[in-house]
Amino acid sequence: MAYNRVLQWSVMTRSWWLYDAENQCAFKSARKIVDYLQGKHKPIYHPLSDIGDHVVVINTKLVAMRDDRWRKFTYSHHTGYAGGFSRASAWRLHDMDPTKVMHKACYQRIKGNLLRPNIMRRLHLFPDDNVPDEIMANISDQIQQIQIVPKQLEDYSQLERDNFPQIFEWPEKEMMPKKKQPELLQTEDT
Amino acid sequence: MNVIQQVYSISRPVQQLLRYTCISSYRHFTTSTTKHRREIIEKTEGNTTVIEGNIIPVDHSKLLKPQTVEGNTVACPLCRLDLHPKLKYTDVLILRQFLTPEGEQLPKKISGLCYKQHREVKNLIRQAYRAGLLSEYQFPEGHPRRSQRSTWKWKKYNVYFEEEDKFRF
Ligand SMILES: [Zn+2]
Repeated sequence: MAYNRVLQWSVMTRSWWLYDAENQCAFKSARKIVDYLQGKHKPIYHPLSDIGDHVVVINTKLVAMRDDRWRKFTYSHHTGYAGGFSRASAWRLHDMDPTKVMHKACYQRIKGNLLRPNIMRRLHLFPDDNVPDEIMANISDQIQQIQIVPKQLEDYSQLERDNFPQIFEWPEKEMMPKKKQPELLQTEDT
Repeated sequence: MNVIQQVYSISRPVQQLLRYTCISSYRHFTTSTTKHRREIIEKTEGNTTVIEGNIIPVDHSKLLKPQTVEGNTVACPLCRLDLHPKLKYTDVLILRQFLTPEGEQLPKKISGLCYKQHREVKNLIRQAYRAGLLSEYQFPEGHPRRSQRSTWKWKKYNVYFEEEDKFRF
Protein backbone atom coordinates (compact mmCIF):
# COMPACT_ATOMS: atom_id res chain seq x y z
CA MET A 1 0.00 0.00 0.00
CA ALA A 2 1.84 3.00 -1.33
CA TYR A 3 -0.79 5.39 0.01
CA ASN A 4 -0.31 4.35 3.62
CA ARG A 5 3.43 4.76 3.26
CA VAL A 6 2.94 8.35 2.03
CA LEU A 7 0.65 9.04 4.97
CA GLN A 8 3.35 7.90 7.35
CA TRP A 9 5.90 10.17 5.68
CA SER A 10 3.58 13.15 5.94
CA VAL A 11 3.13 12.51 9.65
CA MET A 12 6.86 12.61 10.24
CA THR A 13 7.66 15.63 8.05
CA ARG A 14 6.78 19.30 8.46
CA SER A 15 4.24 19.91 5.71
CA TRP A 16 2.95 23.34 4.68
CA TRP A 17 -0.73 24.30 4.49
CA LEU A 18 -2.52 27.18 2.79
CA TYR A 19 -5.57 28.96 4.22
CA ASP A 20 -7.62 31.66 2.52
CA ALA A 21 -9.10 34.02 5.14
CA GLU A 22 -11.36 36.00 2.84
CA ASN A 23 -14.78 36.55 4.48
CA GLN A 24 -13.93 34.09 7.26
CA CYS A 25 -14.42 34.73 10.95
CA ALA A 26 -11.05 35.43 12.58
CA PHE A 27 -11.76 33.58 15.83
CA LYS A 28 -13.43 30.54 14.32
CA SER A 29 -10.71 30.03 11.75
CA ALA A 30 -8.03 30.48 14.45
CA ARG A 31 -9.46 27.51 16.29
CA LYS A 32 -8.88 25.37 13.21
CA ILE A 33 -5.46 26.76 12.27
CA VAL A 34 -4.03 26.24 15.76
CA ASP A 35 -4.67 22.50 15.54
CA TYR A 36 -2.45 22.32 12.48
CA LEU A 37 0.26 24.44 14.10
CA GLN A 38 0.45 22.22 17.16
CA GLY A 39 0.10 18.97 15.23
CA LYS A 40 -3.20 17.93 16.80
CA HIS A 41 -4.47 16.66 13.44
CA LYS A 42 -1.88 13.86 13.56
CA PRO A 43 -2.50 10.52 15.33
CA ILE A 44 0.83 10.62 17.19
CA TYR A 45 0.25 13.97 18.89
CA HIS A 46 1.95 14.76 22.15
CA PRO A 47 2.63 18.30 23.40
CA LEU A 48 6.33 17.62 23.94
CA SER A 49 6.92 15.92 20.60
CA ASP A 50 7.60 18.72 18.16
CA ILE A 51 5.47 17.69 15.15
CA GLY A 52 3.54 20.84 14.22
CA ASP A 53 3.04 21.99 10.64
CA HIS A 54 3.45 25.33 8.91
CA VAL A 55 0.35 27.32 7.93
CA VAL A 56 0.34 30.16 5.40
CA VAL A 57 -2.69 32.45 5.75
CA ILE A 58 -3.48 34.81 2.87
CA ASN A 59 -5.99 37.67 2.53
CA THR A 60 -5.98 38.52 6.22
CA LYS A 61 -7.08 42.05 5.36
CA LEU A 62 -10.46 40.70 4.18
CA VAL A 63 -11.15 38.85 7.41
CA ALA A 64 -14.70 39.08 8.76
CA MET A 65 -16.19 39.68 12.19
CA ARG A 66 -19.66 39.09 13.47
CA ASP A 67 -22.31 41.84 13.64
CA ASP A 68 -20.85 44.73 15.70
CA ARG A 69 -17.54 43.18 16.72
CA TRP A 70 -15.33 45.53 14.72
CA ARG A 71 -16.50 48.36 16.94
CA LYS A 72 -17.09 46.56 20.23
CA PHE A 73 -14.25 44.05 20.48
CA THR A 74 -11.24 45.68 22.16
CA TYR A 75 -7.59 44.74 22.62
CA SER A 76 -5.83 46.01 25.71
CA HIS A 77 -2.14 46.28 26.50
CA HIS A 78 -0.08 47.29 29.51
CA THR A 79 3.58 48.28 29.35
CA GLY A 80 4.19 47.57 33.02
CA TYR A 81 4.90 51.16 33.98
CA ALA A 82 2.47 53.49 35.70
CA GLY A 83 -0.09 54.86 33.29
CA GLY A 84 1.00 52.43 30.65
CA PHE A 85 -2.43 51.02 29.92
CA SER A 86 -3.79 51.36 26.41
CA ARG A 87 -6.80 49.97 24.61
CA ALA A 88 -7.82 49.86 20.96
CA SER A 89 -10.92 48.58 19.21
CA ALA A 90 -10.59 45.89 16.57
CA TRP A 91 -11.04 48.18 13.56
CA ARG A 92 -8.29 50.50 14.81
CA LEU A 93 -5.87 47.63 15.27
CA HIS A 94 -6.77 46.35 11.81
CA ASP A 95 -6.01 49.80 10.37
CA MET A 96 -2.53 49.78 11.89
CA ASP A 97 -1.60 46.24 10.88
CA PRO A 98 -3.96 44.05 8.78
CA THR A 99 -2.32 40.83 10.03
CA LYS A 100 -2.50 41.66 13.73
CA VAL A 101 -6.07 40.51 14.39
CA MET A 102 -5.39 37.07 12.93
CA HIS A 103 -2.10 36.83 14.82
CA LYS A 104 -3.66 37.65 18.17
CA ALA A 105 -6.58 35.30 17.57
CA CYS A 106 -4.16 32.40 17.04
CA TYR A 107 -1.89 33.49 19.89
CA GLN A 108 -4.70 33.59 22.44
CA ARG A 109 -5.91 30.18 21.33
CA ILE A 110 -2.65 28.41 22.25
CA LYS A 111 -1.87 27.46 25.81
CA GLY A 112 0.54 29.90 27.45
CA ASN A 113 3.76 28.00 28.04
CA LEU A 114 7.33 28.06 26.73
CA LEU A 115 6.36 26.17 23.56
CA ARG A 116 4.08 28.95 22.36
CA PRO A 117 6.66 31.26 20.73
CA ASN A 118 8.06 28.37 18.70
CA ILE A 119 4.60 27.30 17.61
CA MET A 120 3.74 30.85 16.54
CA ARG A 121 6.88 31.00 14.43
CA ARG A 122 5.32 28.45 12.07
CA LEU A 123 2.42 30.79 11.25
CA HIS A 124 2.95 32.97 8.18
CA LEU A 125 0.47 35.81 7.62
CA PHE A 126 0.02 37.88 4.47
CA PRO A 127 -2.49 40.75 4.03
CA ASP A 128 -2.92 40.06 0.29
CA ASP A 129 -2.38 37.04 -1.92
CA ASN A 130 1.13 38.19 -2.81
CA VAL A 131 3.20 35.37 -1.35
CA PRO A 132 6.91 34.97 -2.14
CA ASP A 133 7.76 32.06 -4.39
CA GLU A 134 10.08 30.50 -1.82
CA ILE A 135 7.15 29.96 0.54
CA MET A 136 4.69 29.04 -2.20
CA ALA A 137 6.97 26.26 -3.44
CA ASN A 138 6.70 24.42 -0.09
CA ILE A 139 2.92 24.27 0.07
CA SER A 140 1.43 20.83 -0.41
CA ASP A 141 -2.24 21.15 0.58
CA GLN A 142 -5.03 23.52 1.53
CA ILE A 143 -7.12 23.85 4.69
CA GLN A 144 -10.84 24.01 3.97
CA GLN A 145 -12.65 27.27 4.75
CA ILE A 146 -15.11 27.17 7.63
CA GLN A 147 -17.72 29.56 6.24
CA ILE A 148 -19.32 29.80 2.82
CA VAL A 149 -18.42 33.05 1.10
CA PRO A 150 -21.77 34.77 0.36
CA LYS A 151 -22.60 35.52 -3.25
CA GLN A 152 -23.45 39.07 -4.27
CA LEU A 153 -26.49 39.94 -6.33
CA GLU A 154 -24.22 41.14 -9.13
CA ASP A 155 -22.69 37.69 -9.45
CA TYR A 156 -26.00 36.10 -10.50
CA SER A 157 -26.66 36.11 -14.22
CA GLN A 158 -29.87 37.39 -15.80
CA LEU A 159 -30.92 33.85 -16.75
CA GLU A 160 -30.55 32.71 -13.14
CA ARG A 161 -32.73 35.56 -11.92
CA ASP A 162 -35.49 34.96 -14.46
CA ASN A 163 -35.75 31.24 -13.75
CA PHE A 164 -35.82 31.67 -9.98
CA PRO A 165 -39.27 30.78 -8.56
CA GLN A 166 -41.35 33.74 -7.51
CA ILE A 167 -42.98 33.86 -4.12
CA PHE A 168 -45.87 36.22 -4.73
CA GLU A 169 -47.49 38.15 -7.53
CA TRP A 170 -48.29 41.81 -7.41
CA PRO A 171 -51.95 42.74 -7.11
CA GLU A 172 -53.22 44.13 -10.41
CA LYS A 173 -54.80 47.39 -9.31
CA GLU A 174 -52.36 48.25 -6.54
CA MET A 175 -50.33 51.43 -6.47
CA MET A 176 -46.57 51.54 -6.23
CA PRO A 177 -45.22 53.40 -3.22
CA LYS A 178 -44.53 57.04 -3.91
CA LYS A 179 -41.03 58.09 -4.77
CA LYS A 180 -39.35 60.41 -2.35
CA GLN A 181 -39.08 63.84 -3.86
CA PRO A 182 -36.38 66.23 -2.66
CA GLU A 183 -37.69 69.13 -0.60
CA LEU A 184 -37.40 72.55 -2.20
CA LEU A 185 -35.44 75.10 -0.23
CA GLN A 186 -37.00 78.55 -0.06
CA THR A 187 -33.94 80.74 -0.20
CA GLU A 188 -34.51 83.05 -3.13
CA ASP A 189 -37.94 84.28 -2.00
CA THR A 190 -36.60 86.44 0.80
CA MET B 1 -76.03 84.77 -0.93
CA ASN B 2 -72.30 84.13 -0.44
CA VAL B 3 -70.87 80.64 -0.12
CA ILE B 4 -69.28 81.31 3.27
CA GLN B 5 -72.52 82.66 4.66
CA GLN B 6 -74.24 79.53 3.49
CA VAL B 7 -71.75 77.28 5.20
CA TYR B 8 -71.97 79.14 8.51
CA SER B 9 -75.69 78.78 8.48
CA ILE B 10 -75.45 75.00 8.27
CA SER B 11 -74.94 72.93 11.42
CA ARG B 12 -71.49 71.69 12.48
CA PRO B 13 -71.59 67.97 11.42
CA VAL B 14 -72.62 68.97 7.94
CA GLN B 15 -69.69 71.40 7.77
CA GLN B 16 -67.26 68.63 8.59
CA LEU B 17 -68.82 66.44 5.96
CA LEU B 18 -68.33 69.18 3.38
CA ARG B 19 -64.67 69.51 4.31
CA TYR B 20 -64.08 65.80 3.86
CA THR B 21 -65.65 65.83 0.44
CA CYS B 22 -63.41 68.74 -0.58
CA ILE B 23 -60.26 66.93 0.53
CA SER B 24 -61.20 63.62 -0.97
CA SER B 25 -61.86 65.21 -4.33
CA TYR B 26 -58.18 66.12 -4.55
CA ARG B 27 -57.10 62.54 -4.05
CA HIS B 28 -59.15 60.81 -6.67
CA PHE B 29 -58.13 63.04 -9.51
CA THR B 30 -54.65 62.25 -10.85
CA THR B 31 -53.02 63.03 -14.17
CA SER B 32 -49.66 61.28 -13.63
CA THR B 33 -48.98 57.57 -14.00
CA THR B 34 -49.44 56.40 -10.47
CA LYS B 35 -50.13 52.82 -11.51
CA HIS B 36 -46.90 51.53 -12.93
CA ARG B 37 -48.30 48.44 -14.52
CA ARG B 38 -50.31 50.33 -17.13
CA GLU B 39 -49.30 51.34 -20.59
CA ILE B 40 -50.47 54.58 -22.21
CA ILE B 41 -51.49 54.28 -25.87
CA GLU B 42 -52.44 57.21 -28.11
CA LYS B 43 -54.60 56.79 -31.20
CA THR B 44 -55.39 59.51 -33.74
CA GLU B 45 -58.23 59.15 -36.22
CA GLY B 46 -58.73 62.42 -38.05
CA ASN B 47 -59.58 65.11 -35.54
CA THR B 48 -60.16 62.82 -32.56
CA THR B 49 -57.37 61.50 -30.35
CA VAL B 50 -58.01 58.62 -27.96
CA ILE B 51 -55.68 57.99 -24.99
CA GLU B 52 -55.97 54.59 -23.35
CA GLY B 53 -54.34 53.13 -20.25
CA ASN B 54 -54.15 49.37 -20.70
CA ILE B 55 -52.94 46.92 -18.05
CA ILE B 56 -49.76 45.12 -19.10
CA PRO B 57 -50.30 41.36 -18.72
CA VAL B 58 -47.51 39.59 -16.84
CA ASP B 59 -47.50 35.81 -16.91
CA HIS B 60 -45.82 34.25 -13.86
CA SER B 61 -47.97 31.13 -13.93
CA LYS B 62 -45.05 28.79 -14.56
CA LEU B 63 -42.75 30.20 -11.87
CA LEU B 64 -45.33 31.12 -9.27
CA LYS B 65 -45.64 28.90 -6.22
CA PRO B 66 -49.13 27.51 -5.47
CA GLN B 67 -51.09 30.08 -3.50
CA THR B 68 -53.97 27.84 -2.46
CA VAL B 69 -54.19 24.71 -0.35
CA GLU B 70 -57.31 22.66 -1.02
CA GLY B 71 -59.07 25.63 -2.48
CA ASN B 72 -58.37 27.97 0.47
CA THR B 73 -55.91 30.83 0.18
CA VAL B 74 -53.19 30.88 2.83
CA ALA B 75 -52.52 34.26 4.32
CA CYS B 76 -48.85 35.07 3.98
CA PRO B 77 -46.48 34.15 1.11
CA LEU B 78 -43.58 33.31 3.43
CA CYS B 79 -45.61 31.39 5.99
CA ARG B 80 -47.06 29.44 3.08
CA LEU B 81 -43.59 28.39 1.91
CA ASP B 82 -42.44 27.22 5.36
CA LEU B 83 -38.74 27.24 4.50
CA HIS B 84 -36.29 24.85 6.19
CA PRO B 85 -33.67 26.06 7.01
CA LYS B 86 -34.93 29.56 7.68
CA LEU B 87 -34.50 32.47 5.31
CA LYS B 88 -31.04 34.01 5.61
CA TYR B 89 -29.55 37.34 4.64
CA THR B 90 -27.48 35.61 1.96
CA ASP B 91 -30.58 34.49 0.02
CA VAL B 92 -30.45 37.55 -2.15
CA LEU B 93 -32.66 36.27 -4.96
CA ILE B 94 -35.61 35.91 -2.56
CA LEU B 95 -35.03 39.20 -0.75
CA ARG B 96 -34.83 40.94 -4.11
CA GLN B 97 -38.51 40.22 -4.70
CA PHE B 98 -39.48 42.36 -1.70
CA LEU B 99 -37.65 45.43 -2.99
CA THR B 100 -38.68 48.34 -5.18
CA PRO B 101 -36.43 49.36 -8.10
CA GLU B 102 -34.92 51.98 -5.76
CA GLY B 103 -33.99 49.32 -3.23
CA GLU B 104 -36.57 49.96 -0.53
CA GLN B 105 -38.84 47.40 1.02
CA LEU B 106 -42.34 46.98 -0.40
CA PRO B 107 -45.25 47.75 1.94
CA LYS B 108 -47.33 44.96 3.40
CA LYS B 109 -50.23 46.01 1.21
CA ILE B 110 -48.39 44.85 -1.91
CA SER B 111 -46.21 42.01 -0.64
CA GLY B 112 -49.01 40.52 1.46
CA LEU B 113 -46.73 39.56 4.35
CA CYS B 114 -47.97 39.32 7.90
CA TYR B 115 -46.51 41.65 10.52
CA LYS B 116 -44.05 39.12 11.90
CA GLN B 117 -42.58 38.14 8.54
CA HIS B 118 -42.50 41.76 7.37
CA ARG B 119 -40.38 42.64 10.38
CA GLU B 120 -37.98 39.76 9.75
CA VAL B 121 -37.57 40.54 6.07
CA LYS B 122 -36.82 44.14 7.04
CA ASN B 123 -34.07 42.91 9.32
CA LEU B 124 -32.62 40.60 6.67
CA ILE B 125 -32.56 43.29 4.00
CA ARG B 126 -30.60 45.60 6.28
CA GLN B 127 -28.12 42.86 7.07
CA ALA B 128 -27.66 42.15 3.37
CA TYR B 129 -26.97 45.83 2.71
CA ARG B 130 -24.51 45.91 5.60
CA ALA B 131 -22.64 42.89 4.25
CA GLY B 132 -22.49 44.50 0.81
CA LEU B 133 -24.56 41.88 -1.01
CA LEU B 134 -27.13 44.29 -2.45
CA SER B 135 -24.74 46.94 -3.70
CA GLU B 136 -26.49 46.85 -7.08
CA TYR B 137 -29.27 49.09 -5.77
CA GLN B 138 -28.36 52.74 -5.61
CA PHE B 139 -29.92 56.00 -4.57
CA PRO B 140 -31.18 58.20 -7.40
CA GLU B 141 -28.23 60.55 -6.85
CA GLY B 142 -25.72 57.75 -7.45
CA HIS B 143 -24.60 57.06 -3.89
CA PRO B 144 -24.02 53.35 -3.44
CA ARG B 145 -26.20 51.84 -0.74
CA ARG B 146 -23.34 49.68 0.41
CA SER B 147 -22.60 50.73 3.94
CA GLN B 148 -19.06 49.40 3.73
CA ARG B 149 -18.11 52.45 1.72
CA SER B 150 -19.63 54.78 4.27
CA THR B 151 -17.63 57.30 6.22
CA TRP B 152 -17.94 55.32 9.47
CA LYS B 153 -14.56 53.85 10.10
CA TRP B 154 -15.68 50.57 11.63
CA LYS B 155 -17.98 49.79 8.69
CA LYS B 156 -15.34 49.37 6.02
CA TYR B 157 -14.42 45.77 6.85
CA ASN B 158 -16.28 42.53 6.15
CA VAL B 159 -19.00 41.32 8.48
CA TYR B 160 -21.22 38.29 8.81
CA PHE B 161 -24.41 37.60 10.74
CA GLU B 162 -25.84 34.69 12.64
CA GLU B 163 -29.48 33.75 12.92
CA GLU B 164 -30.17 35.46 16.24
CA ASP B 165 -28.54 38.77 15.31
CA LYS B 166 -30.82 41.76 15.09
CA PHE B 167 -29.64 44.74 13.11
CA ARG B 168 -29.01 47.79 15.24
CA PHE B 169 -28.96 51.26 13.82
ZN1 LIG C 1 -47.21 35.15 7.67
